[in-house]
Amino acid sequence: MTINIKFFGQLRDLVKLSETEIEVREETTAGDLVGILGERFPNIREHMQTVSIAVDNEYAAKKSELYEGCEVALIPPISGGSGK
Amino acid sequence: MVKLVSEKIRLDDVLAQVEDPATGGVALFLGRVRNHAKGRAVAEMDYEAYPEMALKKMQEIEEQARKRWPVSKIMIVHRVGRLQLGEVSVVIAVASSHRAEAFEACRFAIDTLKETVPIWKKEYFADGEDAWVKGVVPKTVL
Repeated sequence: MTINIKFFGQLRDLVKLSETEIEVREETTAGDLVGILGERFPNIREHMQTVSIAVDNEYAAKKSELYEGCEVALIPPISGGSGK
Repeated sequence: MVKLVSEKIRLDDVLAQVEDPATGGVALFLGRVRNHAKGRAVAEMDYEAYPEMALKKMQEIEEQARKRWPVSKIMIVHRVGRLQLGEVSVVIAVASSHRAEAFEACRFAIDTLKETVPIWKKEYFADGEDAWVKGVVPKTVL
């Protein structure tokens, strides 16, 4: 199945892409995808420990299964607002 | 109401959105770009959002605030793009019958925004370097 990936913040800078499509097996989970993307983009692998995954605009557990056509966003630690 | 904007936030407009003759208290929080970060001089700040999801999470903050406090009006506005020192990056305005609820709901909204809304910022230092601000792993359940 095909899924759409979006990169933000530091991750987007590192992969030099804001989005891409990838082909994955049925039953691939959000957690599996973290591994797959770490293989494909070795320079973000060290950041994957602190990355959260959102599927169709909602934070997803590592074990949640992805589905055809879903939009998966890699969310590095967030820093909205002003200072600390 | 929640908004992401790329132009300067006009406080008059925000206050007009929380206008309600039945409310006596309006709590207003402003976040501004600071001129320093960990001892280094900051020149500018770039804010980036995942817009669809950021708006959804901001909307959830409004809903939660309304469940917890008797809020009449609430306005959450976050700016994105390149900001200069002192410019306002975020505004929360809460109108309620009494000030205690307005303050509490406003505090809840800004604290939760920083924990759940997918927005990132990059600092541009006065010496020409830049760096993504080290953020927090989002809280995934409100």
